[in-house]
Amino acid sequence: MRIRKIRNYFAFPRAFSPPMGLYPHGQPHASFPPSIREEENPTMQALKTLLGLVAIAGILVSQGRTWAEPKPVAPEQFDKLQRMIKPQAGESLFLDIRWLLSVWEARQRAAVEGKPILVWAGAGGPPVAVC
Amino acid sequence: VPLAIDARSQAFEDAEGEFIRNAGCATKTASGSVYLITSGGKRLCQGNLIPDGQSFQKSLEKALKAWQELPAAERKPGAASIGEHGAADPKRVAQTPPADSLVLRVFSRQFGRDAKGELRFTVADDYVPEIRKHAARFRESANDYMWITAKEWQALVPANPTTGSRVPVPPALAERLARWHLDPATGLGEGRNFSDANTGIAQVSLVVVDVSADTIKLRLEGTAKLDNSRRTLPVSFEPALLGYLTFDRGKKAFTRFDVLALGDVRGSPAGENRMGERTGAQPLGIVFELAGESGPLPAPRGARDNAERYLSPKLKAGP
Repeated sequence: MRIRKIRNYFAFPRAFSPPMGLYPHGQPHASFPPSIREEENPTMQALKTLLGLVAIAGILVSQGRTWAEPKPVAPEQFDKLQRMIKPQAGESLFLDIRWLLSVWEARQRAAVEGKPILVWAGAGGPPVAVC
Repeated sequence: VPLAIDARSQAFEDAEGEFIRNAGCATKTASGSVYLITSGGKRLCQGNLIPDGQSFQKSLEKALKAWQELPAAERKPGAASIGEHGAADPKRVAQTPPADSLVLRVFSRQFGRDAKGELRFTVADDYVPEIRKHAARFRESANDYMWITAKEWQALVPANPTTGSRVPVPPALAERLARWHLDPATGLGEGRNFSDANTGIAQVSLVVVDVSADTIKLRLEGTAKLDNSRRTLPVSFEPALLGYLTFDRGKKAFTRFDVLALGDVRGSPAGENRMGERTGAQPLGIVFELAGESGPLPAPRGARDNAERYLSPKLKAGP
């Protein structure tokens, strides 16, 4: 009941009610002194407006709508970044192996060469592809 | 004979799917499972994938011993007869790129920042405590592939190129790039963050920078604003893109297709499994380059379950 009273106090449409997560203790009434529950208090009116703006900003941020433009990639950094992102020497050694992707081809080759098959089967096809 | 397969293929209704099912050698997890099997499908020994630098080696030695213990008649070349390939399940066929597609190789890597703000490789302490024991895996680069259809890459080549002119990027290509290939979940699990995102999450432009009798050179620039805030553990990624493309007019083919995306990830890339999760805004880099390899390559991560959806993303307007 008290939660509903506080929401009415903000006089926002329901969709703009601050999510519970914005309240310090999950209980809105616990964070407000009794004095600010006076509806005709001018200070309260200003506080209402401020809190309302904070709440809307919080909702927009939580929904990822406040974006800054990503910092451009510096052309002079391109080659260096490319090298850093790709596998380093000695890393991802399994990618150096010429893995077959066809069961039938592997069976053919194993039968002809008289060898066993080392089969690695997982989500996506590790180690040549990741999940 | 090394064989790497997507565990999904055991569900395919064809001879290969049946072989894998009967051999019982596929596990649909990130690491999957490793077995030594015969060409006839007899399972000999399981590989131990504990990443301690010893267990895998020892298990392979044990597996080879099991192979050596088979009767010589079973092991000799030509002992086993493998039948015809037979018709492939259409779902398997869909795992191959459309004719004349351009195939790119994609690598992505999480980074940290040093005291000067420069990129550095990640260390265990960069990650949330729950997953630090897996930090070595997150430090490595993850690999994927991207398909660009013939119609799309041909659209990137202007008929009458002039330096400075802009080339429209096909919407489906830009959307595929953003939804499937700029996902920080790559390599961290089977989850998809942006597959049903609204149209326009990536702004990509292509400019002709040099024209000669032999080549057309283009520069790609762009940004993407990717956000999956619907999950309990949301994630966002805001990369900038830069790329250099060279089209050989004689070969009628791209000889360079180097694109780079770099930006900050916030939140949990793989959702509740927490894999690769760090706190705050942390850098992720992704590079694209011509696969340049002959022979079949794995299907892109985004095309494995529904290649049609990957190739023709549903274009829908944002709010």
